[in-house]
Amino acid sequence: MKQEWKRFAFIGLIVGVVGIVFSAGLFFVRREFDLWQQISLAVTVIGFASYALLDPEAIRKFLTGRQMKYGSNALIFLLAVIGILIIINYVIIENPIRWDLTADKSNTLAEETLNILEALPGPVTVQAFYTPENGSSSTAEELLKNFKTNSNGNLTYEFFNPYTDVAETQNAEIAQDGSIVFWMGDEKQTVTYPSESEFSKALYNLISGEEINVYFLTGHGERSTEETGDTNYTYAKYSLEAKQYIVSQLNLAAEGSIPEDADLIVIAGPVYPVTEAEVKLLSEFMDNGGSMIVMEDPLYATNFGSQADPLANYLSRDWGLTLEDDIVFDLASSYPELPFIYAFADHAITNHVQTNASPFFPAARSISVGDAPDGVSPMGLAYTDSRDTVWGETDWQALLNENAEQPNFDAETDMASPLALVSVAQNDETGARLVVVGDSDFASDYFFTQQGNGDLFILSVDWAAEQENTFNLSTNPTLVRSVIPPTQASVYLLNLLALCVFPGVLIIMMFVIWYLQRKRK
Amino acid sequence: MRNIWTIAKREFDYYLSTPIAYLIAAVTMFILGYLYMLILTYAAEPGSTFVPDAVGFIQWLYFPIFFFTLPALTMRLISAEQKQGTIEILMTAPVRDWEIITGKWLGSVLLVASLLVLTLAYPLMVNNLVDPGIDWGIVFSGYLGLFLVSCATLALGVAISSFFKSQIATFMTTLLSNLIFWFLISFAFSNATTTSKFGNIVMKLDFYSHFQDTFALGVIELGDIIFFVSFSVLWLAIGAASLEMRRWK
Repeated sequence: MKQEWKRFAFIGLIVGVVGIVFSAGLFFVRREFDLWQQISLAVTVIGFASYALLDPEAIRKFLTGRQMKYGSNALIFLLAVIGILIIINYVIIENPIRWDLTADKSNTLAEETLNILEALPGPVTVQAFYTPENGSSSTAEELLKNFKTNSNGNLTYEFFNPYTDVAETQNAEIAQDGSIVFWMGDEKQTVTYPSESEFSKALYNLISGEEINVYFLTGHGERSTEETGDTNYTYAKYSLEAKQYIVSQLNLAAEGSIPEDADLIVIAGPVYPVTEAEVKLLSEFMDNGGSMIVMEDPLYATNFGSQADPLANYLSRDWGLTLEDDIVFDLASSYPELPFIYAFADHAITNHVQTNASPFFPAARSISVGDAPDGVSPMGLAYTDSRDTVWGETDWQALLNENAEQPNFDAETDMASPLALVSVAQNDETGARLVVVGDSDFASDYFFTQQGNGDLFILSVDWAAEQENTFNLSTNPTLVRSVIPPTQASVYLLNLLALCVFPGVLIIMMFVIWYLQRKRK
Repeated sequence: MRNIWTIAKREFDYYLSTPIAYLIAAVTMFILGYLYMLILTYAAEPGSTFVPDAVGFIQWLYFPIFFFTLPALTMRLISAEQKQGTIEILMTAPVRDWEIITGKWLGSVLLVASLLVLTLAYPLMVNNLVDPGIDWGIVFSGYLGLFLVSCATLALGVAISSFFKSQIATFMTTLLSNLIFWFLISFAFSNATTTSKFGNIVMKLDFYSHFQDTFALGVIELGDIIFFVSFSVLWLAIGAASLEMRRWK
């Protein structure tokens, strides 16, 4: 290469180095091997190649010099060290061993969980579907790591992105981000909340093969679990079947009786009133310990007209839960007739609803909690906010006119917030459980995967079907600690010790050493 | 082994005979003392239900104390010898290169271990504020984690010190490396671990997840211990190779 071009060789070196740095920074920001990434890598290669072409002597010296001759030995040695360390780390990662040193053993799985893991009859594969934005993935991963550690190699797990890993997502029939699927052979259980009890329950259900029969009532214009469509309940059905529920339809008027194997009846948005005869059958079902979920929309969205609603009367009389004839408005919301849930009561259903995904109800009626017969304990579960801009409008018919004015709260006639949009009741004598919701669209296919809507529906089914009672973890007793309040004098003394004495002694020692050093010089 | 111990002891004695170790210890104790004062203030409030523990001390030692002080401890280990020209004397002595590196590393490890023992005064003082006492399991695992993180960071610092003559360059490079291994990897790849094989592999190098998810919670995982020991061994080997390469210049 001509001597005069050699002086440009360093430019090639700089271009190569800048190219590498730019490429690394680009990957850090964009995380994909796109055209810009390829260009920057090409520039890197061209830069270094230019350097080599313009100053081959420097390359030759580097490659044949003493440093390279002996350096290659060191490089091989380092590569061998790295290889050995990788193997050791890989073996340990695949066979994790851990010790929980906390006094409460709060990081140790419950005894029941360990028993289930011990009793796994075969390999269990767990697929966790999380998008990068989902913050719960680390919780799920820690739990799965702990489960894997204690499973004697029977449980393995892998994470997938539901948006990019399409084949796996479709195969697992995933409806929402944050789903974890436990596979044992062809059987699967899907969990949407990462907790030890949910994981253990899923494994237990896989092992026990217990069947829970859920019947969706039909014959009154209810939402269908068989026909696809934004207003129907096919997502709800798939989600229930993924949890090993057996989902069927029941036309009670035609059948004349409730199947003996029914564990739970779901009434999803009847457009026409459920008849007295059907209500009688449902009442007997509940008296025998059955469970029910009733979701009734505001009357303007039905064809009830001026007809009586025997089902609503039954709920009010026998369960203390009254479906009010109102529409809940929230004027502070972008869509006033779309109220969000702001507060949950402490309950097995709502304890697992993710706090950053508040369910919402596209047009809902409120539910009042009143007196109930002995042995029945009703309670409000999910409430709207308690601001003045939230209320239950009872004069909704006036709003149906074209020229209707904006609704306003009337303290004398309207329902004041906070309003319960979901309520539950339980009969302590029969064990019957009831969930009442003032809306049915929230769990329809269009809204199922939005916010916490799907979760709320599935958790309601789990509770109504008593699924949380089949598996109770006996958590390790928590050691209760209390503070021993220090006296004011001891506070001063301890502060003096911590802020002045300890650092002060060291500062003095520092000056002594410094002085002695100076004296020696 | 005797050579390693001799060099380690020499380094440890050197630290104790200079103001820097005392300054670092004083600053550490003052910062932790400030945290202790806050704990005391909350605990002394009438009707207070705040129950103190030692977790805060462990977290504050991890960051910011050790984050900044560990690079300061290693910046002179080899760099100063190179700058002063004493490295040639050391390398002509009947001592192997890996013994030099390991000895210097061990000297700084002994200093950090002494500092950790000193800081135990605060968990002991907090223990007297709690009935029936704090959870010493968490203290033990937290301090073990801090010790292992320190060993790994000091090994990195010793290796970097062998690259440069300038102590400032060593300090800044070690600090930057800390930033990468302690935080940046976690920041860049923590979400990617759920979906990307590359992200999963890179996250295995993250100090924060190896420390925060286990040691800081009272859990000891053998994998984390092996990780920090491996990291230390690797960088000590790199440092030894770097010293050896000086002989061929």
